[in-house]
Amino acid sequence: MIGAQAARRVRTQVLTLIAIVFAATALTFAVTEILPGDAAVAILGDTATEAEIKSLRAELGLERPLVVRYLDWVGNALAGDLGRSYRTRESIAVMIGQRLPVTIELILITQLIALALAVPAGIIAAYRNRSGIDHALGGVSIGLLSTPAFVIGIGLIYTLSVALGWFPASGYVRPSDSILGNLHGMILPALTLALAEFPVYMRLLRADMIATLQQDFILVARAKGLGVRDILIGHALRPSSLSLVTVIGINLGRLVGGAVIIETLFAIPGIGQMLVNAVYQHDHFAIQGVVLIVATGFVLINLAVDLAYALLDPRVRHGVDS
Amino acid sequence: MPRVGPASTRLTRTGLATFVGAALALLAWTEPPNAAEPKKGGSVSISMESDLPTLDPLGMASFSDRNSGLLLYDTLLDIDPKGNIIPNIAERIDASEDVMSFRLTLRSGVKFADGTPYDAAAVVKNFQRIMDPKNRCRCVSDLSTIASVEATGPLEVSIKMKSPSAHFPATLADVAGMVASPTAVEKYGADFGNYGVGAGPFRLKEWQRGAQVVLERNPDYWRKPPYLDEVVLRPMPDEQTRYASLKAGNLDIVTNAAPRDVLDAQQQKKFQILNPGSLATVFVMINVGAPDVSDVRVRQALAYAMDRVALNKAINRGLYKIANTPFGTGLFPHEQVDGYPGYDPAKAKKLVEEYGKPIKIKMSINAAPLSTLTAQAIQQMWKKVGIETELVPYEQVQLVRTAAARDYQTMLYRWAGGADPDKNVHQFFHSKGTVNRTNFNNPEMDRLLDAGRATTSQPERMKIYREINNLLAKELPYLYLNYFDNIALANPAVKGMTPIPDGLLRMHSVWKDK
Repeated sequence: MIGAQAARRVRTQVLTLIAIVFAATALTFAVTEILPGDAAVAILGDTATEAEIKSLRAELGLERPLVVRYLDWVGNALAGDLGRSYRTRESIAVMIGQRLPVTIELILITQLIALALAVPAGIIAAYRNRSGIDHALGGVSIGLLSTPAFVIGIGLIYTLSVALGWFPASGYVRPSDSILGNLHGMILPALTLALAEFPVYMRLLRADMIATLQQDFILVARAKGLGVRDILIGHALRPSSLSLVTVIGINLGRLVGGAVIIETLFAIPGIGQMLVNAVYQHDHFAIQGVVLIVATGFVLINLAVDLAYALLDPRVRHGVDS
Repeated sequence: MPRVGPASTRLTRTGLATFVGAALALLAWTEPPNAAEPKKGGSVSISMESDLPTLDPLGMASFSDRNSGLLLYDTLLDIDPKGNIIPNIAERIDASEDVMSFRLTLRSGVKFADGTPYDAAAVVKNFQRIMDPKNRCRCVSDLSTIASVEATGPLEVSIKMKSPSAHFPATLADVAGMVASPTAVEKYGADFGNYGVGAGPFRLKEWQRGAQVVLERNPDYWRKPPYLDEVVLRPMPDEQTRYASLKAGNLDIVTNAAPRDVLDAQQQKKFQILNPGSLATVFVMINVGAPDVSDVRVRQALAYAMDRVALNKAINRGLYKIANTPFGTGLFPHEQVDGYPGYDPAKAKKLVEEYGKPIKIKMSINAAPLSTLTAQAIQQMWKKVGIETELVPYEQVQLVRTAAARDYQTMLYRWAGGADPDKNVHQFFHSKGTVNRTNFNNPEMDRLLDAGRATTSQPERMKIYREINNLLAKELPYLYLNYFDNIALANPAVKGMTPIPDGLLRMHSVWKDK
């Protein structure tokens, strides 16, 4: 019974994945086409003549109709060939292969920092509901929520890096060169992104936790004489984290958007920076490649979140309604 | 091929004299009496606005590209701090009297980083490579007057021109003078851009795409091995991050620093501020074929209405020099002009009245914050004299396309400039210019531009370019704003930097005091 349900869910999700990836890439292809300017101009520069631009457009195949180019790209992509960058001649698959791990690392560290801050804060705020500390945490989260990530980033650069010298202001060290150096450089950008995630996580956990703490089983636990720590972490945290898990999952995708800004700000060679450069340079295949990967990743994460519910909530696992 | 005749003028005789003079001046600049001995070793990091597209000169265009090109390839000729063309890997260049042919003499014993001899054959191959239309060198417009290139000796290259080309030596101080190792070009083929083998002071150690390009000392560099172990080029798209990184000590040199940061550095007094001057200008480019602005009175009104001093103060914090010519501080016709229209709103209003019809201006601009602010300020100034302006923002690539198609009325634009005055005007204002974007068509201008190419005598050329400046001031296809200096900010431990007007960094003499 469980197997059949899970299988059905996975099947639906896979079909959705295919549909979404097609829709996302087709839409991007069309939008890139609407983008003013083109790759030929980006390559030839500001002394290009109209004739030179026309001839390069023809060579790049840009003079063919949009649909033909899209189908061509889909065909190649299905065969595993994502094409080459117009600008640098690099293989898009290789480019993504180099940059995706950087972004994944950034996002994972971001999530770790955000949770490390939000879980204790959320628990405390729930436990001390409407106390001074709850209001203070609420104020901080509203402040962080209303500040754009790049402002937080510049603020952190000027305090933690320029004034205090604790972290490098920019740059990226490969883990293969130095794991410590790599983490050292990643903390500031990850903290920037994390500070934007923190309020959402904290508020969600707090709200769910307040509800949980009013449930009967908590009363029972209290009556049994369990300590505050045992009740909060041992009994209340898991049933209160359902919304949090959903949002963490959804945010993984959203964080790719944040990475676009933060990687540019901190000069980190991830997929976000690649996308920004590709858009500036009208590097169609690079844009398509990144969108393909991000869209696929997004759907896969949602699938994973769905499955994670089952682990967290017995009602989902056992197919019980309500 | 007939050798250049005995009557040929020797550019190099004057060239060498300036070279020696410049070298002495340099000594004074970099080594004041108490200065420490240059130290060997260390690494200097330099910011770039974006990652390099390639290490192949064929694809080099932006400031960062050309900077990396100098490090990897060096150039056949170079520019001194005053903007004069001086010998470099080519120890001399001789022009024939009619400026229809040139003879390059290379230094002996120079080798590419892969050991291939840097000889006439290599230079000829390089010319063939960059001139081949299939290779789409972005430098190709610089080479349009070349008829043929031939090795006339082991170290001698003769170049014949289709038309007089006094501007030609200057092109060899830029991308067209960056010679690739022919062995490496053959070996790597289409992937040569990943390796970039030249004869510059540094060679590629590792390129981490998007993160950094690490260059290491070329021990066989033709002068003497550079002091630095490494030069690291770091793509840092965000302007604020570049300056913050310099302040935090993660970066040694910021090139093309923003006015705000230069001002801050002036106040903090913690960093070296290098202002090498400039080769060109920021300006409002006018399509003289477009409605309203086709009337010279309208263009004059626009010029008289611009309070450029106020504008420069507001937008650039007064950092740059107001421009009245298209020639930056590093070019000899700089400010050689009689009567470019200055700020005079009364005259502007009178001209608007005289014109009689309502004037509607559309100004195409790059959508970036700085150019938007500049354009809005201009819009207000024009409004004061009764001219309505609509701003049309584009992103840079599209702006270029619009300019190339002459699909605009006025446009806020910037040209980085070349090391010879010709490069800032001929291609733009000659009726047959390859990138004539203003529809400017004036027989007198054509004559002057061609005359400027037909003599190597500096006094004569000065006269010609002064006339060009005067004609431009009268006809106003460009409304100049300011010269654009390539100011660099550097960590004080970086020593031995030479300010050259093109703003590019000559790193062979640089060392780090640590």
